[in-house]
Amino acid sequence: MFLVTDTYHFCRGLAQIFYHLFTPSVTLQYPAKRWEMPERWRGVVRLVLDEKTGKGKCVGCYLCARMCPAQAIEINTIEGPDHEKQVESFEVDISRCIFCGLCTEACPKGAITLSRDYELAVYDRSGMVYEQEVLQQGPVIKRYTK
Amino acid sequence: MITLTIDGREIQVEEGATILQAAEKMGIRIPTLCHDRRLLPVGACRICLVEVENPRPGLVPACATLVAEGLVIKTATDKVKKVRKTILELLLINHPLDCPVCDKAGECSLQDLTYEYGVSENRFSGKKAALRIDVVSPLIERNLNRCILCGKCVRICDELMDVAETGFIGRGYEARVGTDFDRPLDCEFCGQCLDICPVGALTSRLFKHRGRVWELEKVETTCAYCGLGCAFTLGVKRGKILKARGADSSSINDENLCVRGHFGWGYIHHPERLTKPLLKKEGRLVAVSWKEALHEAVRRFRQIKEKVGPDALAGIGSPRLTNEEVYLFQRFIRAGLGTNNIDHAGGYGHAGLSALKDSLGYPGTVKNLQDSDCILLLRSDLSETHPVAGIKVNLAVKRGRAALIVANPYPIKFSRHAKQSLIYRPGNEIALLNGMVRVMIEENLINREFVNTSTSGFDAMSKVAAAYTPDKVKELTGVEPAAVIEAARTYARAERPAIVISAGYAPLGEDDRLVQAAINLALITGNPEGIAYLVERNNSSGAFWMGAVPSLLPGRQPLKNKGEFEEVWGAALPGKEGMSALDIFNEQSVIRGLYLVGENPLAACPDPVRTRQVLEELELLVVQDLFLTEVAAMADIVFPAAGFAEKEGTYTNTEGRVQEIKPALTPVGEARPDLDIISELSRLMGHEMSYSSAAEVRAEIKKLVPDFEQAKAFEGKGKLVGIEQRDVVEEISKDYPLILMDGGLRFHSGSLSRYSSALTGVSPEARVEMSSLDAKSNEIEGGRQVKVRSRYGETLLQVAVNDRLPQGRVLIRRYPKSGLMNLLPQPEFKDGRYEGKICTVKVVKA
Repeated sequence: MFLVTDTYHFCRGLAQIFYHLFTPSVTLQYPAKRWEMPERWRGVVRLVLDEKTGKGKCVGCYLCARMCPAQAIEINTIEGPDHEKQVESFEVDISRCIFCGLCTEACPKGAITLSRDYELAVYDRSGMVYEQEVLQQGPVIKRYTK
Repeated sequence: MITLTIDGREIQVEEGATILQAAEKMGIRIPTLCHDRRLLPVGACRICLVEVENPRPGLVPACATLVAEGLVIKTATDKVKKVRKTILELLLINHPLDCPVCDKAGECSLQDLTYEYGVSENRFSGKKAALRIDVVSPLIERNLNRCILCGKCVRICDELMDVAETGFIGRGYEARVGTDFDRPLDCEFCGQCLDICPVGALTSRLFKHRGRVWELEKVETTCAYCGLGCAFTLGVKRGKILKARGADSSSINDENLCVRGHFGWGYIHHPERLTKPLLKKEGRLVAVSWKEALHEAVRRFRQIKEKVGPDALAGIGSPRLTNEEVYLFQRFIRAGLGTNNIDHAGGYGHAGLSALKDSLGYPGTVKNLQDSDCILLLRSDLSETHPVAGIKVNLAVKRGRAALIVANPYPIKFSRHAKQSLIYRPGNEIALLNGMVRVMIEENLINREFVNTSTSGFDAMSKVAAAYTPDKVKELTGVEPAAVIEAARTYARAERPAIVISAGYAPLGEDDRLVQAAINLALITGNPEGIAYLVERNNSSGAFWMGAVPSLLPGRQPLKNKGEFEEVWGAALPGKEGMSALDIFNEQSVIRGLYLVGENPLAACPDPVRTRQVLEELELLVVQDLFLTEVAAMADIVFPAAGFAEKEGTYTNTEGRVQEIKPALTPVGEARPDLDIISELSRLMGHEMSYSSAAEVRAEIKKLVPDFEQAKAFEGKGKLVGIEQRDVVEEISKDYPLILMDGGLRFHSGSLSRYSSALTGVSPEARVEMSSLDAKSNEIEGGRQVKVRSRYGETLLQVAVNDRLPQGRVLIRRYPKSGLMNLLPQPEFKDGRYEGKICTVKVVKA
């Protein structure tokens, strides 16, 4: 009796193996190939530039930093030459970021969004803190090439 | 008592209370915009409207409507909510919605209410205001586009500060708050308007765009400038103080602050702060490690002690230190070094306090000032020296209709509200007071019963006072007999009169005599609770009480009581009375090694030339300070100390109230709290001290000084002592025809304020003030540089000519680097005490 059932299950297993041998694979050959992320993907934070002026849209209201549940955002503002509010530094510690997107919801100026970038690994922990320029231009990702 | 019903609950309140106060008492919140506890209600904004059901239905403003018997009020009906929402919509027509960049956001009343009442859209629309933002005024930025015309800034400036810098200009839609001809602000810069503004129309330039309110870590601590000890809250962001605002309605300041409190803390972040210990090597100060500096100090202290003896060493502390630090400092000098040569602030800062303690039993009180019905401002330019106490006087006079008698050698800001302004010859206050006492006794205006039961020494005192006839008083002080008589009558007939004296403006050695003369006046009329003696520095009172005095141990105990201290400290104490600061800088000084903690004798002692000479001749000079002051630059060893916001401890204010300070920052560089430095030094010196916190030191102090928290009120026994007027003014001659007066300055206090860029930015240049008549006869033009010359030295200053100053007198306020100390004579040693003089000067063109 045991022999019959064991043989049955063994054959079913073999059938599975042979089935997958001849269907296309789901996994991608990363990093030779990459996923194209869907549009609403919540990737790394990006600071939006004003199309007209080319400068950052951020006015330094600190609301994103306030909302951030992971406390990943640190902003410093100063008084500019024309007594306006100027963003001196805008840092996001990406190692803390949980990609929740609350910062984009808090922003009154649409100055911060989540991009589709997802490749964040670096060799040095300090590279996880993105400064204003990096956040505006997007991180430079060192890609593996053959 | 009146009974009314609010939101279905009955409450009893006193007559004269407003509906708002009644609701507050019940814990019911009614929103307000134009109301402040400290101001008179105006009912301008209407946001506090509540619904009255009985007796006459309708809406009334809660802040400006008095309670009445049987009122039935509802504070949160739909109708009320709808009306409030409409008011907000109307306010938001021209209020710019620039909350993201407005520095008030987060503590803005309008923002909070808009959120609370859900005003997400506006039914009304109109032009947004587009006024020019005032970016010129120092310290205070005015963006009138955000103004909602509540008028609080206008009212606090007028009602409390008595400055009335701004007012309403224009009508209707054009109405705005402004100065005359829209000039930039040129006021006392007290910053009260910043705190009270419910929106972002008035903001601090020091905080501008540097962070947001919610980011700030709030540290409640005590202001470290004058002796009032105002409670305030520091707003700290990433190790930097950005903001200060008055706190704690139960404290002496009732949420008010002056310019020093609001803006004066900047010295903590000054780039010239000392960050490393310095040691003189080959004539130059070089940075060394703590270990090297401390060991070198100990080695050389020991060297002098062994070679010459402990009495060749001395320590001068500072009234800026905390109680705990002063206590440890004097313990180190006494038990560690083995000498009683310890003093602070020129040696006589404590004289007046001593008199109060002896004759009254408590250090005076400021809290009764506001309820007084007669105030005698005796040599107290309060708006300059203690502006927050000035607020109380102002309220008593303008709101409480108190009779104000200003006795000052020159007219002050309060003179214009004075019932009587007595301008006397400088230094002759005692004659004036004695004259008043005589009038009171003569006209039987004294409180016999109180004198008999609660005082002693009346007969001897009255004998002294009897000699001060109005004519003699006139001869000494120049005040008309009728004026003295009237002042005496006004004071004696008042029910709750008060005398205000500010410390440190009498010639050296006169303060205690002046205080005693004032006590005489207060006691014979039976008003022991009506004396306010306002000390100069944050811990003047505590430094004296903690024993930084050559003749007294902590708690003002005489040296012969040293047994108890020896037991606790585990060391033998010297019994010989030590040298005071004036002895130390005397010609016959025998001091070889000096330890200065937070004190700069070059700026605090008269005759800087001789002081410098004494300092130069020392074998060892150890200075512990925040900055490389003139004296620190001369030192052999310099220890960098922590400032008031970087350490813990307590200050005792002028009323004897012990108040805590809390660390808001970590000390800059390698600087350490004075407490650490002193105990480490003492440990190396062989006198063990180990404390992990200021609280431990405090516990030890409390054990040795049971009345660490001094008596707060008169305890039923007062002493009357007759005080004679001494001749304190130098001879007026052709060469020196003008009497020199020194005055306070609201922007500065001691030597720390000059490192505060905010204060130095608004304080005028050091100058000498003289009357236009004197200027004319000496052919001096206002605004020019002049030389002020006394018998002892001279100083170069700008001259300001005005018509208010009496003829024959010049006034130099205590600006940093005014050179005032160059002019003053070295006090004479007479009958066991130092006696200073008011000097006469000549002003010549430079």
